[in-house]
Amino acid sequence: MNLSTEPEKDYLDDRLRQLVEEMVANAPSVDEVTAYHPPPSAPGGRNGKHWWVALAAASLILVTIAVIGSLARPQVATVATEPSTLRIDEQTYRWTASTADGLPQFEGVVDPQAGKARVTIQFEMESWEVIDDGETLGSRYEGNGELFAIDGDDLDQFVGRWFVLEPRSEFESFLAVDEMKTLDAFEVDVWEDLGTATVNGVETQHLRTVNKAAAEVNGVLDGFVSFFAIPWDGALDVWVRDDGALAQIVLFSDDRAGRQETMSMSFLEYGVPVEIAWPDGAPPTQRSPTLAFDEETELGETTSTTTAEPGSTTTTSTAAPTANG
Amino acid sequence: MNFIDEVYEAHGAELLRHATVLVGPADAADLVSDVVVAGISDRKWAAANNPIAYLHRSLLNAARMRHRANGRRNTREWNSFALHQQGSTSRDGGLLGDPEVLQAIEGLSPQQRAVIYFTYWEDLRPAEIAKILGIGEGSVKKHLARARKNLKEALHEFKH
Repeated sequence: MNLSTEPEKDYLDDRLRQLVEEMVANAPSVDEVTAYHPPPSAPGGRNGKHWWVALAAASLILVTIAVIGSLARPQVATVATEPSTLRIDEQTYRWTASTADGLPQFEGVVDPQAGKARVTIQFEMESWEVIDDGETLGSRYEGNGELFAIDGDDLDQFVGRWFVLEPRSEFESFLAVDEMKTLDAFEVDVWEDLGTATVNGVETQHLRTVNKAAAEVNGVLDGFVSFFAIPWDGALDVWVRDDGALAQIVLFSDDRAGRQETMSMSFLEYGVPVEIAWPDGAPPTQRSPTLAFDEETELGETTSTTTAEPGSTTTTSTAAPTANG
Repeated sequence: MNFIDEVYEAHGAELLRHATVLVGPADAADLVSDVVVAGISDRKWAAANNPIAYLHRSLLNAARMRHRANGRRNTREWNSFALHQQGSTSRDGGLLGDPEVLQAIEGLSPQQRAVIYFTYWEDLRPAEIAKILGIGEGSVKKHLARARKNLKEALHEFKH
């Protein structure tokens, strides 16, 4: 992927600069925007509430997260914004990511057998309450995570992102269920129902398999989980419970040796850990000598690794339900 | 002048430039309008150390949501516009006039677009871009590397 020479790199930069300049040259003027933007409403006032309700109703058929995330916020208060913490057990290769105040965790495993040398996770979580006209409708969590699995010198081997929302209103529930059924995807070759599977002792629907560079999956987990996975060249298997909860996501590398499971992620119910499925049914017995974090690890305030005693059993820390959970 | 107009006067042009790269010229004004109106009623706006960076992050988040919602349906934001815009550089044989370049642009994620905008227009370094977008510097570098790779082949000089 690296450009072969510095002159070529410089030339590419010049061409990209030209391209961006051309794009920017087509930007509308400020006058175009101010000519038609709606009259401002007082923050949190009744006009703001009615505007939200009307817009939410009009957007119902669109079924997009955008309605929840960016438009429908009559009054919001940030309850917590915490940096994330990553912990990885060097014996079992299980990683967990959680916020300092115990908001939902995410965890997964790294498969050292597949030659993945490093894992980088950048994760942040916010939660806030939705208050409409003095009534608390509920709370939301939104997590932005980026997960990278790096194989040797080949960066961007895998990128995954996810959001977690916990809506309470019927409107939002409707949106989430409908979104789960509408697995929009980019550049997708094959989507299919693969029947049922038992994951963590629960019968689940093996929802989709994707074999293409980019995919987008929406799911539900005690509320809503939206998972956006963009394997570089791989596949994505998603398991969804009967109640719509997203149980597990397994990602595969599409290398020359065939599909190899590189990472599986089980989403924790609040306060309840979920077992992680290993590719070959058992955790590895040897630790990867290259399993480490470098300057690309960015996790807010704290990055740490845990080392279990040889022969010990590793347990996953659980996220205690919060007042907003 | 109301507060929204003050925001537009002070930052409207740069927000529109960013939005144009994110979602194309046809949707840029809508994106900025939605973000500014929603943002100024958000307490996080008032509490933000850097309000304009907050708006840029909001633009990116809104573009990402729009991108996810529309999927393939919004992938032609440059084609019709570039060909019909009066004085468009596409008529003069610029890069936007190349269908392969347009296709490559449309294949970029909103994050990649944001990164190339701040890299090649605002001339910011990855660390600075990371602060604006609220992501890690490593993430900025990764998005930039991927965008370069995606666009490289579309630029004919690099075809092999």
